[in-house]
Amino acid sequence: MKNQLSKLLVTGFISLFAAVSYAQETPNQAISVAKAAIEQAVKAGASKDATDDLATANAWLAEAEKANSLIGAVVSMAISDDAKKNRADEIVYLASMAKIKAQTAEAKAKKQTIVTATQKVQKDLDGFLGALALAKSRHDEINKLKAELDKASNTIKDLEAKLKDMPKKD
Amino acid sequence: MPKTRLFSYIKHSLTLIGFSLLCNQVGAQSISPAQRQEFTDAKTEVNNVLKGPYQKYASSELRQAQTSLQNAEGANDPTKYAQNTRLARAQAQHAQAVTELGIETDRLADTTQALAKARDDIAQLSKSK
Repeated sequence: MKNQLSKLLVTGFISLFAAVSYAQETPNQAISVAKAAIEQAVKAGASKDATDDLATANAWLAEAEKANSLIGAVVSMAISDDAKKNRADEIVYLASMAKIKAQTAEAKAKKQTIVTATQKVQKDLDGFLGALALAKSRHDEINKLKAELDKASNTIKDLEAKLKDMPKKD
Repeated sequence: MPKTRLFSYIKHSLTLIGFSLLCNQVGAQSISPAQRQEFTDAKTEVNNVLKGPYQKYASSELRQAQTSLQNAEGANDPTKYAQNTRLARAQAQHAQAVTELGIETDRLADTTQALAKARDDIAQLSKSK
């Protein structure tokens, strides 16, 4: 009996958890997600590189929080279920706008960081390519000189051989 | 006589209330030209992203924007219409930002690779001397 009861309780908890997991996002959840997205954007440098989008995200979040305030909650107690659902949908919408704007700000800030890094790497690359071109031209010059040197030493060897072969005069 | 007056007063009041309710209802259920313009702007924004290399970088973001546009198109309620329109526009702008971020990330990877190759080439040249 006790075993059956505990099994029933476990099943009940699992069903409840599943139901909660599949339920639509609540206003509080949506606001928390938006806040986290804004924090993420600030960490990525949006306060410096994506000020407009970050400000818009904060404005949407402020609207969502205002609509979700305690007074709003008290008012919602006196309204119909349909009106409550509409109010919740409105808050989720406001928070979603805050989240999307924060994510846009984050992407823009990250892009700016990457552009700066690319410019630095490109500068290094230009320096290396210049050095490489110079090194290659010196290398070619050295090879040319070596070839000329080989040619000259061969000519000397030939001349020496000819000198040896020449009959000596008394 | 006063009874007739009262009756007439009630009749006119009811007519006025009925008319104002009707106006309110009509106003509440119609999508304004400004909202339609906003929808067109959102659609243009989505189409602009479609022209770029979004597929590689921001396909899921763009899909969300397209879904919101479809939700707006199917909405009879002007509030839902406006909300989905704004969501679509914001999601399209997000997709655009993610695409640009992806392009710049690839550019950085290419430049870093080119730098490593140039370093190797210089090292090999130095060795061959």
